[in-house]
Amino acid sequence: MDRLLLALACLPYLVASGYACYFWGARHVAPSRLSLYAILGGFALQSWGLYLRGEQIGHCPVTNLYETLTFFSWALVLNYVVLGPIFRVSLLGIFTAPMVLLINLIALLTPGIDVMRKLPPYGAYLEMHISLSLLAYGTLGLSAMAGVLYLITNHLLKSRTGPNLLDRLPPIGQMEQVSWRVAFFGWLLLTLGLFFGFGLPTEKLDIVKISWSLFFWGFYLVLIVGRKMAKFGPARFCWCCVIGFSVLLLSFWGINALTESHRFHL
Amino acid sequence: MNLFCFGVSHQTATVEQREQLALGDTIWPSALAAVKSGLVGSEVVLISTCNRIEFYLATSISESVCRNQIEEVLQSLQRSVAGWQSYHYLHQDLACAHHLFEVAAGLQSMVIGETEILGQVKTSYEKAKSLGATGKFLNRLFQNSFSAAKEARTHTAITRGSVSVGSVAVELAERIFGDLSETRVMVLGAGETSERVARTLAAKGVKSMIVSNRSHDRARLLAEQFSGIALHWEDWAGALCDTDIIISSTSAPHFVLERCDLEPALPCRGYKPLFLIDLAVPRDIEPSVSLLDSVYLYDIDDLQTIAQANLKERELEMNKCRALLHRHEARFEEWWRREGTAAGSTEKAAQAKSEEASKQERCA
Repeated sequence: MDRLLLALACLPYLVASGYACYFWGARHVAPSRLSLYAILGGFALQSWGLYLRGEQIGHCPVTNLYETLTFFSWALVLNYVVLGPIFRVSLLGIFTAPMVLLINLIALLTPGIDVMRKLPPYGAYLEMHISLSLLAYGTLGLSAMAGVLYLITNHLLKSRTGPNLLDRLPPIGQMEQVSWRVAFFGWLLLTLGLFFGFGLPTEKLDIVKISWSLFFWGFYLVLIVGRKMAKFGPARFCWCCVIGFSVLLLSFWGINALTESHRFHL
Repeated sequence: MNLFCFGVSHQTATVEQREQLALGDTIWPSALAAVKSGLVGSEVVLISTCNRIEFYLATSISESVCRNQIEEVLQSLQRSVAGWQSYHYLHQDLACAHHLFEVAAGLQSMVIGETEILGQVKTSYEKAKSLGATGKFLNRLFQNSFSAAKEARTHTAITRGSVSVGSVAVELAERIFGDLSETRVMVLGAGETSERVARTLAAKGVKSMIVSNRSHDRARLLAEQFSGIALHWEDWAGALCDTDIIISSTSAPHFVLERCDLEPALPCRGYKPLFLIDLAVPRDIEPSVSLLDSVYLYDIDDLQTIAQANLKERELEMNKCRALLHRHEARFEEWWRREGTAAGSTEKAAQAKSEEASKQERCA
């Protein structure tokens, strides 16, 4: 049932992704809330699916790669739904919807990644560690998307082309601030997630995973502080957010595979 | 019942000719009243802007009588109608409606799609209505033209994009900063061009304005106009850290702002966006500054290119806009054929009746 709900959630995400393509392709686009409503619809279905899965396994649904991917995409949408209105950047949905759709399709269509298993009996600490870390990745992902939006606007302004496309994008000054604030929020969540991780009673330290996590924690710390102290400009900050998150996303599965405690059982 | 539009516009008359016919706010009501009183039972609306003077009439009186009456009124108001026959135009019935719909939507404007005209047409109509010069037919015609124009604005890109250098600069500033109320502007060179752009920005409510010019007196004069500060020419570089927009239009034969001057100022600004508008020829700002992070440089050619591209976009939208207006015109036409004809036959019947009555009187 929970997989069916996730599959159903893909439909509104598909609509929102279609709107995203139309948005970039059409010469003129009248403002529409279609994308937001579609994303909200998909979010509701996905939340329901995750809830049912959680009920079924008696945990936060993050015990295998399928659940981790769907929880991560859910975290991305949650961030968009919460932070989008706060920072008045509903346009981030243009990127969020296709990305969430892609992740959900990978989760649904990859065979053998949805093997149910029980989490070790470490109680709430473990669930907090996993869920906060995934939420943090979702937030950092949103920051990267704001960064992409900044870089596109920056390119259009610098190349002095596409004045019509600029009409549809938020002011560049605002995008840079959004990217920084969201990255800061994501870093705080990551700090909390790691804090709970270090509190877990493990027999031996997962050096690879810990080093990887600390590397990204430090990387974002340097980025956030460096930008705040004006050590570098917003374009470099946004490039780093985008590249940093891409590396994080691409190495996530591989790094987990190298460690015993974080390995996804296929 | 007939609809007439007698008028002159920038398309048919030169500015000198339009000047001779212009009806300012003070004499406008008397012109309207005079036309109305000369054409008993007619409805009249007068539109007078810098680009057009038009009389809209809904009347059962013939075209030639209406024309003579308008000429008489214009003459009585010391307006020169010499040669008016050659450059004025007449649109009748549905052509008149079509013309008004296009005027209200900005398709007949000098700058296609400009939005000011709709406000001017609305004001003219409201004034005529308040003077009791409109009735069933012109009320319907004008109200339909307003809704058509509003729809055209919303559903087509006819008003999209700025088409003058000043407004393109403001539009870009808004794309960079969003709300301009917190932005600080510096004007280098107190020339006419920079003054015009500065004025457009000031109208958007920028936070502060600094003016610097080689002649300090001119800088002070311009700064006073914007309640800004005048800086001595040697001191403007010191204000770079606190400036968000620089408009430069000096007559210097070399670069006034170079990359090496600007680069050290960026960290002290926290790398906040800096918008540079170079209106000077030869250019005042070294082009390579645009390679710096969060610095956006536009010279006069860039702004003009964008303005022209926007104008082309608007021209491309004209057909779409016309199709939309056509639907409104068709609705009006349907109503007009029903009501206009009915009114016409009632008038004819009333005329026939009165002729019959006068005949009987004579016989008696």
